[in-house]
Amino acid sequence: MIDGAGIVGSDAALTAVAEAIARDWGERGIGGHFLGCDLNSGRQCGFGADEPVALASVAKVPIALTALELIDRGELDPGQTIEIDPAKTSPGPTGSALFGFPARIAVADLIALALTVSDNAAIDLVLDVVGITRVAAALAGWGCDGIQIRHPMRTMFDSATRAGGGSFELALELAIAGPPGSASAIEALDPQRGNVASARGLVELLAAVWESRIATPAACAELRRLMSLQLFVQRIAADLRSDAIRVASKTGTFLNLRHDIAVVEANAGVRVAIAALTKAGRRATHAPDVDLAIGSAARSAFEALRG
Amino acid sequence: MTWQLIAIRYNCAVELLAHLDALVAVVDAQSFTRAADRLGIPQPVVSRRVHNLERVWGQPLLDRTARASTPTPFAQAVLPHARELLLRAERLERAVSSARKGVIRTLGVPPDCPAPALARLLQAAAEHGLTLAIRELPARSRQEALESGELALALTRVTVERASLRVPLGLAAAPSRPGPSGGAWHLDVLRPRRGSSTPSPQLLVLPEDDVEPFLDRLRDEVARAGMSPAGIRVDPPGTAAAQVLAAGAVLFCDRGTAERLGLGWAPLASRTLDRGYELTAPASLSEWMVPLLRAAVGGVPSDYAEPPESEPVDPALRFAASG
Repeated sequence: MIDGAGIVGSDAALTAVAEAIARDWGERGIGGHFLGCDLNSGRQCGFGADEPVALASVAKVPIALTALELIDRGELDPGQTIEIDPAKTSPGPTGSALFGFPARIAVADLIALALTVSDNAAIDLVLDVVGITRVAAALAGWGCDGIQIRHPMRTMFDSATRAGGGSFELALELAIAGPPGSASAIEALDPQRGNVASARGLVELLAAVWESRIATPAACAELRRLMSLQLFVQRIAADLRSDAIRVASKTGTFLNLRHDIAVVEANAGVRVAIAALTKAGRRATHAPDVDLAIGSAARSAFEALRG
Repeated sequence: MTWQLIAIRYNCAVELLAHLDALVAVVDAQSFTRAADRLGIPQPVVSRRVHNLERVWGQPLLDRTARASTPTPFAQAVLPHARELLLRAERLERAVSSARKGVIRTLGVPPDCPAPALARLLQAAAEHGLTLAIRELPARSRQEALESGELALALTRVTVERASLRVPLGLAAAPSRPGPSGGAWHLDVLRPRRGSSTPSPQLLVLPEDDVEPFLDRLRDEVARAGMSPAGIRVDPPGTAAAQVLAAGAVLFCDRGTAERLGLGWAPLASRTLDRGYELTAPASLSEWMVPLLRAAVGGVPSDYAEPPESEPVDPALRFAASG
């Protein structure tokens, strides 16, 4: 069960929604953090929203925004091509991470691959060009103190492989056994060493992007466009997406972590930002009911928040 | 402190046990009168024993201001130890009495074995010159009783791969629930369909399966089938059957148990969850006992074969963040 002390709700009805989601997740053996926020009214509901959580591929969002800002300021050529060397690329199941032969891809296209199909190799190549210190400086400049980007995607793969001694089952076991907030045997899961943010930090980032308050307006617009082309729609979008409701999102999946952040937009200017960060206590690679529990939570929160 | 010192302090150790027995009885019954009734001794004796303990320990044990006699925090701290001591004394007593009678050996078997099968086991024992007593206990209790020496012989749970005796496990469901289409249950069919408001059925297991290696494996199989392992619950057969009939739960059990409970049953398609047993007994006994025990628990020969490996995914990719 999720710690009841962390429940937030702008009014009694929203608190009840947050409690219902926390209860449902608890019954399914899902530990997690959730925050929904109506960008127009500022009304919120959620729980555990301030605890820093390892981000997995959600980290691609601030890295991409840093690169998009550099492009818009003329400091990075979007057409500059990068060599894809299959022997060196970061591992992953999609996009250029699957390439078996050398290729050249432009920076702007690598960003698109990273955000739409969660291409690990693509974002690590973008990060090589941008530099991790520039991402950290950009986040500090945007006032996103709660978001820490410290390593490329490859570090997740390397630290899990190392900690598990090559055994995926052992790595998963270590991820499950690690108490929340404590130092983990897997570097990428450690709040002190990994890429981390709280649900609140992520919702604030989404709010700032959707209101074009950070980076540049063109960079924000491009990030919004790419996130709206998201191919992984099994979580927040699962029970919301229709012709009337648009979801722009980015998932994160690693070991027992299943995350999704999104802005859900509907007609009449409705915009609701949602961050759902989960950690399941089970040993399985696929957990369709966890994905659906996130979808169900997102729908409840969206319907309660949009007013 | 040695037993000698304890005996001097309380006059003798047997007295200590009688005193602790009185204290535990009063706490459990929440009344001196009811405790005396239960112990079959006069109420003043019960009161004196509790009072003696308070005197020796120098601490009040019962809050007598409340209407019911409730234990003080001090009593609550010592009570678990008192219970432990009484339980061990009881085991000692049983071991003494069976040793006194001579060569009676107690065999632990799973609960609810059919009586004719157990009768055949007793007959065979007599023919082999062995006086056998049979105790039905769930798996975890059998293991504990074997370790404490209460049982001389026991059918113990082991993983199905190492077992000399295998009991096929299946799912018992209400007769109204349609059975599996291929004659065997694949766990993933229990997942609720997308868009349906019916939740996953409650997954029940019997006390016989309440052992960690089995539960751990079951949790993994349930998770692999795309369901939450958090909802697996252990229930005794009666309650479990009621849940199955009235609330749409499904019960992991053997065919015999399902038939006794009047529930529909079909085996699981995968054999990895089958119950595995090993007879903990001298080899001279195992030879004739194992076939009889196999019949008693509804076992089949241990012809367990590892399931074929499925097409491997790139193992390295499993470590990569995906999506």
